[in-house]
Amino acid sequence: MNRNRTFRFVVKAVIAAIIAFIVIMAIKNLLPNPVVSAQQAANVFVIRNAKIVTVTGATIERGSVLIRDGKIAEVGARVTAPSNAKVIDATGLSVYPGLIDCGTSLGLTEIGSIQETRDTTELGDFNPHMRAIVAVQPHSELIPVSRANGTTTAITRPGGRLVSGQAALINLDGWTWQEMTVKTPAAMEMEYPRAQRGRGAAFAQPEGATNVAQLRERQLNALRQKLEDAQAYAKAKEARATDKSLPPRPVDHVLEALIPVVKGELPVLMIANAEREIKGAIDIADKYKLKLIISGAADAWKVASTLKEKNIPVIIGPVTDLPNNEDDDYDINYSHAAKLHKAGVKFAFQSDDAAYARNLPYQAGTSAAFGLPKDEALKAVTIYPAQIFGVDKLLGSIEVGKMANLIVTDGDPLEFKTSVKHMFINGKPVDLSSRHTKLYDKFKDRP
Amino acid sequence: MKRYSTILLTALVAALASVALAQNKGEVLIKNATIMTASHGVIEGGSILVRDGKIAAVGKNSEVRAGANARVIDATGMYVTPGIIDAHSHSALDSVNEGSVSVSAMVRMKDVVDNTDISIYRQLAGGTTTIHSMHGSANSIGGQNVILKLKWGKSAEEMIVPDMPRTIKFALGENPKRAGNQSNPFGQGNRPLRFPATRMGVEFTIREAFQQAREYMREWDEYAAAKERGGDLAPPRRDLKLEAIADILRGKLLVHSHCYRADEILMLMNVADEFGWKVLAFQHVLEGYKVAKEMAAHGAGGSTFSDWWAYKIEAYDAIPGNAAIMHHKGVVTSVNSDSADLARRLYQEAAKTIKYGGLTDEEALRFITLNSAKQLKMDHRIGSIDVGKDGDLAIFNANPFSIYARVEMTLIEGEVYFDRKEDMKRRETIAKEKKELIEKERRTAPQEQRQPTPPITPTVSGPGDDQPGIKQ
Amino acid sequence: MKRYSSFTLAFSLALSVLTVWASFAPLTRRVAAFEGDAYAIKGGTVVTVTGATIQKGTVIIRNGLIESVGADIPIPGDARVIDATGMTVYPGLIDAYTNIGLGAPAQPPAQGGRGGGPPAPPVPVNPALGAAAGAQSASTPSGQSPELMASDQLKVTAETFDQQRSSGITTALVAPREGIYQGQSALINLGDSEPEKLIIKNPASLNVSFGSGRGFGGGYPSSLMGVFAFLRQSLLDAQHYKAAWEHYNRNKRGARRPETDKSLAALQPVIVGALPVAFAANSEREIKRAIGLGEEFGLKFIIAGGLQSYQVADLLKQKNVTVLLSLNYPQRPANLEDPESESLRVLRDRAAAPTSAAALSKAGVRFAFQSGYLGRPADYIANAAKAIEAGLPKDEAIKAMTIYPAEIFGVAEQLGSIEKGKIANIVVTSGDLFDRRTLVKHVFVDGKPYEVKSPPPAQAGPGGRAGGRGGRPGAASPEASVAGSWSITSESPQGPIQLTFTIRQEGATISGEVSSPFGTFPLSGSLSGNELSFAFTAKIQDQKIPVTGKGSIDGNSIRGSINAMGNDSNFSGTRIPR
Repeated sequence: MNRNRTFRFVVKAVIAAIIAFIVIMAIKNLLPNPVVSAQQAANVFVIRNAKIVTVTGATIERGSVLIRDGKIAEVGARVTAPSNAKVIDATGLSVYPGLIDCGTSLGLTEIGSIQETRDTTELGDFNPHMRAIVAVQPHSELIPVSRANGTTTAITRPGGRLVSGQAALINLDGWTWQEMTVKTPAAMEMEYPRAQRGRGAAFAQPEGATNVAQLRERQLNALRQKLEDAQAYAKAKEARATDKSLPPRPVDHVLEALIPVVKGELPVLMIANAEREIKGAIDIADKYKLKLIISGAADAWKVASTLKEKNIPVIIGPVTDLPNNEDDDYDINYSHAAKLHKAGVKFAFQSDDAAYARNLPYQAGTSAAFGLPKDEALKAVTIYPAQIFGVDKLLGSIEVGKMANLIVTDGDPLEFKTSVKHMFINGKPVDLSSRHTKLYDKFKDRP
Repeated sequence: MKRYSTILLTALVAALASVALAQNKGEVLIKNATIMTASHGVIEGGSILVRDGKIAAVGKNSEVRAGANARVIDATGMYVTPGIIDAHSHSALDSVNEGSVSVSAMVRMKDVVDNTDISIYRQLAGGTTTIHSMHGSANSIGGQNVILKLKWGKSAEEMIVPDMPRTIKFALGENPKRAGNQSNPFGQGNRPLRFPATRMGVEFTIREAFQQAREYMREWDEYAAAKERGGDLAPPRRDLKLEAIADILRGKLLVHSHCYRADEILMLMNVADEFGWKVLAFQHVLEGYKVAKEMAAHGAGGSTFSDWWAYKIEAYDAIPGNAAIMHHKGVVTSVNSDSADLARRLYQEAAKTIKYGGLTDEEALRFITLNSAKQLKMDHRIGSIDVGKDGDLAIFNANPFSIYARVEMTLIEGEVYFDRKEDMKRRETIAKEKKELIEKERRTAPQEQRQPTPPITPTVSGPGDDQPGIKQ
Repeated sequence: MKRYSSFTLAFSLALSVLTVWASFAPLTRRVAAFEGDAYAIKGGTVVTVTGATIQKGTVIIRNGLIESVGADIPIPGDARVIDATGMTVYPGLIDAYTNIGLGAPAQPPAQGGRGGGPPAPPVPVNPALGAAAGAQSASTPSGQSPELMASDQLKVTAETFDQQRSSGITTALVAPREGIYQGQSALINLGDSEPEKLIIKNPASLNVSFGSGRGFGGGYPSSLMGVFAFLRQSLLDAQHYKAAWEHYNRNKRGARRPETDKSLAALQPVIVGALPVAFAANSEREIKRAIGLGEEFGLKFIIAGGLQSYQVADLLKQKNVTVLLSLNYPQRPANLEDPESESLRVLRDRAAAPTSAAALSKAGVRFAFQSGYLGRPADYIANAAKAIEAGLPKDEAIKAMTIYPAEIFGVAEQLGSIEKGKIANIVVTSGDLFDRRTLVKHVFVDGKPYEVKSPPPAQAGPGGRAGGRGGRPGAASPEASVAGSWSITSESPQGPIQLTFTIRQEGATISGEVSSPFGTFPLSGSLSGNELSFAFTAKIQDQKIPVTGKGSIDGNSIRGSINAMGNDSNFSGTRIPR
């Protein structure tokens, strides 16, 4: 009897396991691989007679770029293009790598004031298992508007929680979010509990807490606890993998999702602005061996030597934000990038928006107006973002073998008066029209 | 009676004294500059002479002569533009919205100017010299606005433009109907709803206010006539709200109306036509491009954002080509900030209209200078570099519409109010003084934790009325 | 008809007699010492203030008045003698602006065309005090009632003014501190008898504040410019009321009589300059705004507050404006995490506030000191000492607490100095008033001696003054009272949210509930002086939304900011009367 029951239980368990396996595999197949296999673009393109700003190498004053199967096949003063290649004559134009925006909510939000169009913020403080990529609306009107100024690739991320979820690196073109995916997860989005500052602060679990410091400490404790739980969970999971005698444990989705974080494999994109917050974020990263990227980072210049020493990259922007404190230098944010550059800190820019992601180039340009060398400004929206998110073999410059995310412009892409004339994403030409150009064309000739 | 005349005399003396002060005596010569006049093209290798606060001469270096005592600013390699005018601001105010009532025409922003708002300095550092600081958009008819020159360090009275044209804020669309709306995302609480809740109600609110103002005017006219005949009548009650609206009917108070959609733009022009007044300028007017023809026919200006959109449903059809289309269809167009942030770099905002609308530098420059001045009925005094106008000037290190440009110096009426070099020098002394004061407080009141009191001067957060960041 | 009227008259007469009798009734039960008792304070240094200081002088008190004062005067046989050898004798000190002794005002429910369920009319009823002749004044919202009399709100027990008296303060100008028209102040002696016996002058002023009145969502006016429009309209209405009644009195037959309006009636002495307006104004621009409004309507006005008057001393002199100068200097906030985040402007203000008195004195501006709602009366003198350190001559400081306020309020014949015939408000101290080691030894109010109470132990905590004035009497009132129910309106980008806080208080710790449109949640928090910090977790659709906030308590009103989900919102509210 007893034995019979045990047998039946085992059979049920086995069946359940098989079903679970099938389901998991099915889901897995539906989801994209971390690094996408490039879209098999049948077409071959050659951009001729262009100035080619490769970013990582020397600029070619007059040359060509050959695009084949979604990749940059050849770059140089002369390239060997097959006769069936589509030719883009770029005389007087320049080719740049597509710009990369290190922080947006593109695809996750449409109209700011309408809750139903926002998918950035899930309930609860700890949402490491929330994946931005699955909520990206590929046909958002905001996407063509954003790319029209040269951005081909962007981090899109959840927000508003202590651990908000998994950020994705997406191309701003594709029929589906799978086609748009470059890398996911690209980072775990977190927010350091905020110090008392002029701007709004967010706290969790404040029952009984009576002041800001106390509230922050509570939240920090909760975060530390969660990371320790994840470490223990990861360790136990590894142990179970090698020692089959250990009893099974039900999956904890939150801790499961934190495993790559505590193993230092998945970077943490931690919003921290005040000096106190940045230092706190570094402490946590040190203690739990996290791979840290500071985001927002308004006071990063005050912590520059530590950031450099620990090789922690920083994502700043919008640099056009108002200074936080009344006595701050009027140009404190405009000149922030120049200070970080001088201190040797690795940094990149973000628009920190969706509707205004098109202003990414002006983040870099305005920084250049206030002391950042122009070539550094360009790197901070191309190759540096690629390096920070670990895709510099794939993106961020014009090099053979890289994904063909390119823009052809009539000038410096950071300048207001410059227009993007052609854009390639993943080796495919991209339509540069948008809701804005369509409405403009419709009404400019209204009788 | 005697008391009154004394007061009157004192006020007169004070007024005269402030006028005298405002006239910055002496000469300033800016030479070797590229001068973007906003009215008559660009002068390479040019000079501007400002005498006693007014532009006395502008032309090629050789054409402009200054006296021996003139302060000379060598602007070699630099660009000079008229001081930038922000046609929609909420900076330098202690309070923005009297949102409790649907019509608050009786309130005046000039009563609540905050001359200590750091935004003033930050905007000066972006070449902005004049701002139109407006009532908020919480109600269909808002309050009376104030026009300020950003004379940082001066008193509120000195910043308020003397004899400024009087303008009033109206608001259409989502904002004025919000207080009547049950589906407020944060809930209505126990607060009773306030009429109106629809665009229909907004129109009625405005129409009824004008109807009442007409009756109010008639009441006073009758009283005046009866008094003329020698009757002993009780005077009618003065009503500050209806007086303001009557002033609109009399053409003494000019209407700037917040709006988004084409339908509401047409609506207000119709109401205006019906009651015989004009909309001087539509503010935000994000769908102005759809009805630019009608706006031009009415004579209404359009003051818009360069590229704001999608922050609410009524901004979903906003396009960055709006300014260009309105301009091409004959609307006097400007680009404004509505934010303490954008007001620091309106030249960048104007530059975007070149990009998205294919305009010339001069057209874009007018969007933030001469056209804004026209929308404030101030173009006889400010908005271009012409002889006789105020010596309000911004000096850039490069073409202001280049992303690499920054402001080096800003002058108002010939007086330097921002100088980047001076600013850099001052940073250390500010930091030092601050440190000393903090230290001194630590020393003098270290162990005793005193009963805290709020700072003397109320600090005000001044978010833009329609700042996308607020996600209204 | 006529008979009916006379009956009404008779009835109301009877009623008022009864009322008066009722208010005096306690007298018969509460007779204390014989008021005619005589006292002789002898041998002390008598600072007469208006005359020369008398070494080893004597002050004779009888029947509540100063009978005589001098170096060598005979001591009457029936006088109780107080040996003040080695001590200093001052006239009782005056606090020229406070709200002590006032019970909570009755607060009519909020209205203004917005009450109840149905939407307000399209164009709301005129917000001013009255329509044509004051149609809506019967339900004028709180804070908009110039007819409110502080004297009607006085609630005095034997202990009410203990701490003031024990600090040497014997007279105060009291007025409620809520609203725009805060009410008409009364100058009172800080005794322990019935309010009617304490009043020296009533009304002394109409007190007006520019505080934004009813807060966002609370009805008109909700903004600072609304407050100015409201004040202007009400003054215009008062002028119109005058004209309408004058016209009616000239043409009674055939004219329709104007309505009566108690608010507009109360403003009549104000618009003709018979009753001064005390504008609560601290910052430079508030002061200028007050001057502007006062001049616009030809009011007789004074400034109450004036913390930043160091910036405008010359203007005040030029305009001949009197200042009731607050000694409640701004202070560094408690629990300030990041001192650097405070602006230089705020730091400078704090450093300069004690220099205002010297600046006014130097410029020749008439001024008197007031406590500015300081929690501890002892700080009143301590902070005056800071003004002396900042350059104010000591004798000016004494005058600013004695004869100057007496002159300003028109009672210099009765108060403000030690002179024959004046009210016997006398303080005897162990030494110089401004020496931090000095103790108050004796205090007389209206000729009656009061026990000098020791302060509670110098407990550390906000409001306390460690290392303070060597046991100078004066009570710490470390924490404001916050217990009760509060109606709070929080402004948010999406619109106002109405909350009710029900707060229980134990010292500096608070607990209670928040009721909101989303439900009721437990509240916790703490108090530091007047600063309330609180936190609660709102649960909305199963989502926990942490909310924190800070607010400054000001009597029965609170103002501050609430933070939820990273958004800061301002809130304001008032205590709901029980």
